[in-house]
Amino acid sequence: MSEQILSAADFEEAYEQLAAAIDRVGRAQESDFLVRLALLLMQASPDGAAITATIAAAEAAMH
Amino acid sequence: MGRARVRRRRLPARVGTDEAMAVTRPAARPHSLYFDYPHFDFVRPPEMEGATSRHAVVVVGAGPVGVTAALELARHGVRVVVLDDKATLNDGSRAICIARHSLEGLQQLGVAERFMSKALAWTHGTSYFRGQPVFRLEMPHSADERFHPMVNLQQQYIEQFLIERAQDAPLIEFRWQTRVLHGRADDAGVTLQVATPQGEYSLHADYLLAADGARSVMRQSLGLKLAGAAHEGRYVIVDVKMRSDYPTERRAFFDSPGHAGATILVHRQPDDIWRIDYQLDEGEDEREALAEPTIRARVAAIIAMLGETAPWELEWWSVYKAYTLCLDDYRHGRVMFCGDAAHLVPIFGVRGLNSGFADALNIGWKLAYVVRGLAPAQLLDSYSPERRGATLDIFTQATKSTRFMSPPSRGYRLLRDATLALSRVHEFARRLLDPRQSQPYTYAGSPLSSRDDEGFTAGPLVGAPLQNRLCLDGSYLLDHLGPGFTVLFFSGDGEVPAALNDICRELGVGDDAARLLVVSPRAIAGQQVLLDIDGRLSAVHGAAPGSCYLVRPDRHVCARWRQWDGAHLRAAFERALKRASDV
Repeated sequence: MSEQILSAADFEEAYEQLAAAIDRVGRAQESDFLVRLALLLMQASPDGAAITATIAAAEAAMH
Repeated sequence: MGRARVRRRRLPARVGTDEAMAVTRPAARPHSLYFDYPHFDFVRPPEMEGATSRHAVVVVGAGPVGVTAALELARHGVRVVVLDDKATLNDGSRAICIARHSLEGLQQLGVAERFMSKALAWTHGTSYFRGQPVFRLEMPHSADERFHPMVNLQQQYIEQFLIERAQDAPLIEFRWQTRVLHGRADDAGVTLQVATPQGEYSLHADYLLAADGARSVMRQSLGLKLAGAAHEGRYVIVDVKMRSDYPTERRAFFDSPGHAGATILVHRQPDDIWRIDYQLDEGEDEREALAEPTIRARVAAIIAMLGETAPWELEWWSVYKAYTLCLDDYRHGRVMFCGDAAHLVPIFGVRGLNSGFADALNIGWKLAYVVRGLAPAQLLDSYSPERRGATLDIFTQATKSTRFMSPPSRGYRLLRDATLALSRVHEFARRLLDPRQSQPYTYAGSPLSSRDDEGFTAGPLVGAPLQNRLCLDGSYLLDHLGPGFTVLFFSGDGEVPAALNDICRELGVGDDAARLLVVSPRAIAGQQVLLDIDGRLSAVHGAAPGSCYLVRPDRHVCARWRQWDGAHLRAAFERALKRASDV
């Protein structure tokens, strides 16, 4: 998968926003929230191959 | 005058008054395993014999920040009285990591060599997640640097080396076992009421530096409060004595087998002492957590996780919680606050003592120039914007570090753990694991700085400290700075314009001319030159023949020009002393 699309500062900002959003939706809904976020990010990406690679990378990181 | 007689003794448990970090030692051995704490006698001051005196500067607190400030004031010719309520050093190793930029400041006080003879230098670190290494920290370092990016040294050694240096300074008088009861300040000066083993007395001063720690009496006396935030997570800090060949580096363990769910930090110190910081579980009873059997069990599990098999002994332990708190203003008339008296910052990134050193060096030269009548009192107004600005920058960095080390919510924990897991494979995630170690602060927008010359493409910015680069003769650039201002001039042929020499003499403060330091690829008779045959010094400063830097006594650049100009140089100097306004 491709690396380093966001700048370090933008990545840190997104990190903070996502952490706060997870807390806002609450534990019961966090899985649904994260899946919906993933779908929206997929739709925002113009690169289908990159999406496939990203899913594989995330799956690999589970082990 | 006032040199304390020193008797060395083992320190009993729980000595010291800094309640912000109460130190506990094993019940069966209430003294240090490796350090003999000195005893400083009380000496009756002239005030208790009926004399009335008014001191130029009183420093409250003989910790590392207060003594550094006293040394800087004395370096600039100002007499200082240092008060401290204790009869010895602060107990326990406390702040152990000293950054390169602090060592560069301490070099100017003549103590860096002593520090380096004892300290352990390091450049690397490793972070682990659930037992697996996920990040390798590499701090920039090269053969061109005099000091490593970080060294480890116990605070009692830091204090000992500074105090011994100060005791040799004729302008510094220590008054041990002297506790400030209260102080008041007005336009005319500062008055303190102090208690000693032989009674109370009053003390008068023109100016006061409050370096009396997290529970500053001076802060309370003036009715001032720290404002800011408390962060999640409590950490137990433990020192153990243990023989190990593991190299000196920073190790961070997240959700480790040694303590599931918690964060653990491990640092090596001199004398076979190891610092272990471990996070307490949420809701864990602090009293129980600090009981000796609990400490022993936790430490044993961590040492086993480290793979160490040598015998170990407990040295001391304490508990710590992260805060980002500071005063709204570090100057209140004739009283200036520095170190923990002015701000409390999280330990992650080792910014506490390092920012305290920078406070002391910043206010030291400014106050000296004001006391000596060489600059108006308005020069002191620059202390708070510069150093409080640095504190706020630290808060931004330290808040991120602290949220990573001790996630404050489930959202932050999920993000942190995912980042750690991805770090094994993905470079982008590793960037977030960088502990953001203490860096020198650039006084951008300082009222003492002139506009930067946009022609520069390299070199320290206006407001940044000069870098301590290796010179051809084996010395380092900072070795050549004067005690006051320095004009760093880059010459193509070793010649110096006569007008520049004249201006440097004019720019003197008191009896001292500004030091003219000439960098050139050629040496010529009758002109001291820092040879730069290979052009490296010029390159790192983005300099061409005729370029010029104006450097403050605390080695921060206050102006620079690609091509020097006498009128601009004069004006920048006046501005740096608040003797003129805009340039």
